[in-house]
Formats: sequence, C-alpha cells, structure tokens
Amino acid sequence: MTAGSVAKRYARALAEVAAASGELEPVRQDLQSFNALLRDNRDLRQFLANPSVLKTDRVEVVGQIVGRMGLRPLSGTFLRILAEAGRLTGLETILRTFEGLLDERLGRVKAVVTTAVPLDAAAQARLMARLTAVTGKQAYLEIRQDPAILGGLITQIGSQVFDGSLRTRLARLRDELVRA
Amino acid sequence: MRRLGMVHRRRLAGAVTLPLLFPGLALAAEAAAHEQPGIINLNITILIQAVNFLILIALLSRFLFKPLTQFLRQRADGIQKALREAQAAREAAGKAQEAYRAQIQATQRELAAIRDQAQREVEAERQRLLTASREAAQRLVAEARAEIEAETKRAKITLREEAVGLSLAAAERLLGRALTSEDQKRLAEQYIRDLGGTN
Repeated sequence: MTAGSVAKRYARALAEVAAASGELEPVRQDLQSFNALLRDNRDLRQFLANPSVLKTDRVEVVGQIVGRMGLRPLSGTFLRILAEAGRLTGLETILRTFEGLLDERLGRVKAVVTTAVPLDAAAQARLMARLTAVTGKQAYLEIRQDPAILGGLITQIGSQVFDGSLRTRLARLRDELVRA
Repeated sequence: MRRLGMVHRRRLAGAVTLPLLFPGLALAAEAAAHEQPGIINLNITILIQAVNFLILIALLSRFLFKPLTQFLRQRADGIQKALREAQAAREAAGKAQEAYRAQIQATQRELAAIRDQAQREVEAERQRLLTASREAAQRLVAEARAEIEAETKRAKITLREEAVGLSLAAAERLLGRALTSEDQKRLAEQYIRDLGGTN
C-alpha cells in the first residue's frame, strides 16, 4: 500500500468523524498546529520516527504534547492513533489530503500565496475575491513569505500555478536574451 | 644374324671346292683342249667347263645369292620399318611438341588473362581505397567543421549566458534595493488585476 493511499484512508476516516461531530475546521487547525510543531522540531521528529522507541512511549509523548497544546479530544485521539501505528511521519500528507476533503465538503479551495513582502488585509481580501471569481469556488489563502521572489505574487491552487513574481519575469527575460 | 652369315660362308666354300672333288673331269677337259687347236674348239672340255660353270652358278644362286638377297631384303625391310618407326616417332614428337607449344601458348594466354585480371582488380581496389580515403577525409573535414561550429555556438551561448546572468544578477540586486513598499503594492495590485487572464 502506498503512502498516498494510506494517507487518503486516514484522512477520509477523520473527515467522516469530524464532519459527524461538526469539528472539521477545528480539527484541521489542530492538525496544522501539530504538523507545524513537527516541522520546526527536528528532535521530536527523530524521536517519533525512531523504530527503537517503544510504541507506548511514543503514544505517551504525543498525548502529553496534545494536552499541552490544548488540542481537541478528537484531534488528540487521531494523533495518538497515528503514533501507535507509526504513521506520524506521514502527517503532512494526511493533513493535505484532509484539507482537500474538507475543501470539497465545504465547496471551497485553498490558495497558497507566496509574497516577497507582507500583504495587507485589503490586498488579501481583493486577492481572495479575485481567486473566488477565477476558480468558481470560495477561496481562502495560505500566505507564505519569500523575499527571493523579489516582488509580485505566486499563487498555487492544487496543481495550478499563477506566477507573477519578479524573479520569474527576470528568468524569462534571461531565457529570451540567451536564445536571441 | 651371325649364324646366318656362318651358314652362307659354309655353303659358298662347298660350291668353290666342288671342282676340286672331281679332278678327273677337269683333267679330261684339259686333254681335249690339246687335241684340236682352232679359233673356237667345241670339245668336251668346254662343255664340262660350261656345266661346271652352270653348276657353280646354280650352287651360288642356291646357297649364296638367294640367302644374300633374302638377307638384304630383310635388312632393307628392317631399315624401312625402322625408318617408318622413326618417321612415326618424329611425327609423334612433332605432335607432342605442337601440343606442348599449344599448351604453353594457352598457359601464356591464361597467365596474361590472370595478369590482366589482377591488374584490373588492383586498379579497382586502388580506386576504391582512393574513393574511401577521399570520402573519409571529406567526412572528417565536415565533422571537424561541424564540431568547430558547435563549439563556437556553445561558446557564444556560454558567453551570452554569462553576460546575461551577470546583468540580471546585477538587476536583481538593484531591484532588491530599489523596490519600495509602494512598488511592491503596485506589483501586487497589478497581479490581482491580471490574475486568471495571462497565466
């Protein structure tokens, strides 16, 4: 069984339970917070991925983190299940799949927006409205900042990318000048 | 042959000595000659001498001339036969010589044909090698020319890439320093306006 299909099974099961209890969005936020913690904490990642660590110890550590972060019981239970099954290393994929299912259920679409400088609230609102009009679904933003793009924006919706960054324009200009 | 000669000699001796065996007959003839002298005295002596002569002739013919003639004929036949055989041998030798000459000529013609064929093949091979060498040389020249052109093209591209890369790196540094927050806002607004239209 591939990691993608496993992630899809877990995500689908969580979505059904969370939808039944009306906690789709809170659970998503909880998983996102836990995933950010994992992404930023290398020691924790290595501990949870270490096969020599006892399953019970792994579950106990995850339970303590869940308690300290104040996550919802459903989120905590799900994370402990993942820890017991040794699937926490695939949390990122599960979360992306869960978000996709959530967006499908809610009729919305996530747009990952990369900017060189912070985007003010008014610009975000205009961008969201514009993306909603373009995609035909309610768009919500996930803003990422990357000064390397120099200026402009890059928006990714699923596999579709709208690249209006200065870095890409310069790269195109470079290619044109080299080919000329 | 030697035996035949001995037999003839024996018979000849017998014929010559025959008058000696009849001395009375000879003496009687001699006495008659003294009785009647004349130009021609036809007496018994002459008759006896004639008879003796005839006997001698007969004996000679019987024991000398015939064997001798036969011997000479046989010898002539042998010589003729030897001559015929020699002629036949000469003719055979001539034919063999002719055959050898024809064979030599045929061999010479064959050798000439082989030599001509070999010369033609050598010439054809020389032409083929010459053509192959020319083609190889032309191919090498073409490949070298293409390689030089490709190298030149690559060098130009590399130079252009380096020049463009340096220019754009400088432009990026300049943009990074020169772009104000207003410029960033303007870029963002332009992006939002153009979204979905150009990408």
